[in-house]
Amino acid sequence: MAVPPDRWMRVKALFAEVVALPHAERAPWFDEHLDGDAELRVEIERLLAAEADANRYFDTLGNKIQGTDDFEAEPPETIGIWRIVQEAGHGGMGRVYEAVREDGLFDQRVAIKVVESHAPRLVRRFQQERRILAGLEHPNICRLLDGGTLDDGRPYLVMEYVDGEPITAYADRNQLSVDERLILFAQVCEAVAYAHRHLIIHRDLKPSNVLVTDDGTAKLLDFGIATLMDEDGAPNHGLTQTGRRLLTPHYAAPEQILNQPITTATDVYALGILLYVLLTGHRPFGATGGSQHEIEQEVLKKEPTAPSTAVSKSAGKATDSGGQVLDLTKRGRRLRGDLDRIVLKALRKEPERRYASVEAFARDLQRHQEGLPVEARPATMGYRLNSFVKRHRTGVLITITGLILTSTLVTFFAVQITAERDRAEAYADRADQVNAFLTDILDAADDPTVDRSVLLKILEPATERAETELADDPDARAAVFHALGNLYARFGRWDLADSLLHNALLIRRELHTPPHPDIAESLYDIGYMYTESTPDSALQYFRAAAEMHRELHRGDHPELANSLVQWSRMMPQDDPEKRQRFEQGIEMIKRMFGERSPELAEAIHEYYVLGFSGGTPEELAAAFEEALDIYRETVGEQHPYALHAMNNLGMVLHDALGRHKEGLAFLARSVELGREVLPPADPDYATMAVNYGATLHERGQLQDADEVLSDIAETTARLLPENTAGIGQSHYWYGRNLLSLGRAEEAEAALRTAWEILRYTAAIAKPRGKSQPRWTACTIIRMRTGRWNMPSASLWKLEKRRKRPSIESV
Amino acid sequence: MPIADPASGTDGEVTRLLSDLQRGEPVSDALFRRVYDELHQLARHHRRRWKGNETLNTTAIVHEAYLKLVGGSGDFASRRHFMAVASKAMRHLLITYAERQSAGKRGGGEAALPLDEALIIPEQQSDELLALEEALKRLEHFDPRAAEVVECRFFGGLDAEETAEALGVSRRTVTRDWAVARAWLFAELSEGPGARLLHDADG
Repeated sequence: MAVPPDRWMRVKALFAEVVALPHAERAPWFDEHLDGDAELRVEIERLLAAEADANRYFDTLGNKIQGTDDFEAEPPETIGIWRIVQEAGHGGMGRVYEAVREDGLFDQRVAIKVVESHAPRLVRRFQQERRILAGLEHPNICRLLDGGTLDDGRPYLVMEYVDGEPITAYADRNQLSVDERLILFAQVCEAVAYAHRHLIIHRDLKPSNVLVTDDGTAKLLDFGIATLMDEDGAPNHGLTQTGRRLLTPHYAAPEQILNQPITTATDVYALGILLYVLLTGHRPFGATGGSQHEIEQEVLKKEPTAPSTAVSKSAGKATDSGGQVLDLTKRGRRLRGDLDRIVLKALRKEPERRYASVEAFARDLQRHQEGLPVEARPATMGYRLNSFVKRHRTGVLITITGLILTSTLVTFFAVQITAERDRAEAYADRADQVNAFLTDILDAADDPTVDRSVLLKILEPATERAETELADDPDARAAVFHALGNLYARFGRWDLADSLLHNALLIRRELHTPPHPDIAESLYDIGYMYTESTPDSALQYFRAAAEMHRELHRGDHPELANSLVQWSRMMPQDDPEKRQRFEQGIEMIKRMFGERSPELAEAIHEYYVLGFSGGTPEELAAAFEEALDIYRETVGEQHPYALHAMNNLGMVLHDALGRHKEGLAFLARSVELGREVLPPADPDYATMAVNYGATLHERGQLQDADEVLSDIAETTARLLPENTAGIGQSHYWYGRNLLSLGRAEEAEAALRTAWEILRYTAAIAKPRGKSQPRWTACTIIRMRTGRWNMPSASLWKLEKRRKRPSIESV
Repeated sequence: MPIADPASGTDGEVTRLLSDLQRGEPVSDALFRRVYDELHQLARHHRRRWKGNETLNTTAIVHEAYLKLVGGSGDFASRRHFMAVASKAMRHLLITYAERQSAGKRGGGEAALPLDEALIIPEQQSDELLALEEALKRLEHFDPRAAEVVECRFFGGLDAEETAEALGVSRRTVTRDWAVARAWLFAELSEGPGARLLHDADG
């Protein structure tokens, strides 16, 4: 009962898309996306109908099976010199116990955090927390007293025990006035500012992490996801990735949701939310609930209601005593003006528009309390315009012209802006959907078990969709073009790849001012597309990418390292910088990923492949061998990258070092494994099989060669998209081998196919070395059949130089 | 209590078998057997320890088995391989018990289960599990990865992050596969076999 995988892939992608939508938007979505396909619609509706019940079903059944208990059922009696009194709770990464000194020497109460599992990422985070806390000594920050490791290797932390309650609960229980709340809040600001001076960002400030003790001291807890900053204040990217999914969306800043760099401004934002809640009793976003996705959308797009308005609104809804209403109304008046502006300034979507530091934020609050003018000014038209321009550049440019011409139409302009913004937001939503669809496809593209030709078929309509549906959304359009371009490049459809990748770059250049990560990405991938066909252009693009990444990232960064390696690879061999750049890249990768990481293996392999490195055959063989060893240790021999390294190692040993037997063995093994683990329509598999078949041919093992080559020629013709390089290559070698076997008629048919395709691919990109098979194909056919007119001089020259590209880039 | 008792210790065999996987060899019978036996033993042990508790606690069992068999010597790669193998073994274990329980109920020829084993699967769940297994096998045919995600998330009790590590895919893929697989499986369970569209399209 095989279900057609492409059909199922589509069902999956569409389901993921629609399931993320709010219920109200689903019906229109169906009409828009599935109008023409009743069957698909029925299936997706069936899944959608099952979804809610399915979650409940699996949760219930899962609870009965998996258990809701955590890893460890009973607490230890003692940890070090501490006797456990009780469990005080557990959070994302550990269990917290309340404990006292076992020896009773001092009456000291502590909190002990024990990491809950051996999962390396948790242990790492835990050790990170320990390092961070060790550096902080402040009356408003919970102190680290001790730390160690349990018998089974799980690390623990001993911390000051804070007997307090969340800041919001404390303020409400004690019915603190607005001014008292501000004084309490100032303590929190001091602690955060202190941490910032020690280059530590908290990143997860929320009421439950800010406790207040009975004597009114605020204590900051949980530096669990804090990020250590570099000395220059730039965020340390190595740690940012772990942060996001641990976030509470209500307190997350837009840059955290967008996975953009986290800075001290992120804490300014979280403090803004904290103050908002402290003053109004409401959260600015997600106050009425909603899914994580919905809240995130609010955080990204909705302007928060001014605190005074939020309070007045709840005064209108208050059903309690008249006294409460009066109180709320009074408070609303107290907040109007300065406090509204201060809080909203801290909550601006763009980090650079918030207070420059926590000190500046605290200072403004203090000035307000002292009756001095505050830094936060009413949002000017300039600011609003600016933030809107970022959201929707093209639409605004036209409107601005209108404004300059007729300054009397300001009211009209404001109306226009609202309408434009609504439209912009609608586009953004749609772009999200397209991106979700794409992400799924791209995930599949990275999954070696998914057939790439199936993928291409699914993607073809995406090009059209991007052209029409995303006509007004250049950002998403560029993303779609870019992704498709990369995919076509992998299949050797240089024509389509070239135009799509360049299109994406053009759009991105219009959208962004360099340096920009999207532009750098485009430059790099265009360089990559050119490596085989036009190394000179590749060099230019890689250099541009490397330079832009250097501007973008201070210090080590994976993309900078990769572009350095690629750039150095394309440099002429006599360039003294060649080796230097290469080593820079390699050292960076070692620092980031380790001495024996797949990332390092990939860089080494990439550098030496295609022979631009200028290394001797011995060096090449050593490099491929090292890459292969690392892959075997880390990702396993069956990983596609390991197979590529193995195949290339075979080629070098056989062709360049004359170690025929060993070389053939590596080639055979890579193809044998590739056949098992790679989808048959994988263009890289085709290259590997052709390498193997051609080598067998050259060794004179014509029957074996025929077996391999006939198989791969048949597979590529059947499964690869038309006109892709792999079909041409396989038929070329299949035909040559048939000629040697004396099967002239079959040979001619194969060589004709080869010629048609190689002529086509070479005419577009003139891939290095690939013009040789094309001409040789003509030559052989001419020699055997006399049907092709070729000048015999070039014919002779070509035949003498006849050699297949010795190391394929796979 | 600390779980890896240094005295009983890990003998390194499982670590060794796991490192075979890293060299690209398929999961050996020896490894599967070893993990299966350990899970089985721990499951019985848990049933005895938590009398009256309905929950089997596969999550804890899988993690405990890791500590016992691999312990602190395991690196990232061996851990992720272990989790994938253990999820498969846990599926096998649960289904085996469900089959025996269900056979026992029908008065089939199987010998009665010892008490501590009979409790491994709460009786009312055995039929549910068998139906689920049947649907899961169908899913395996056309989306083996999604089926593996179900194996890890449901049977192995792994969280999304661990599942992503175990299967070597992105977390996003896990989340999506898990969502669509759950919906599909539930639809199958409530309607009986017949994913209409997909089967029709095939024919």
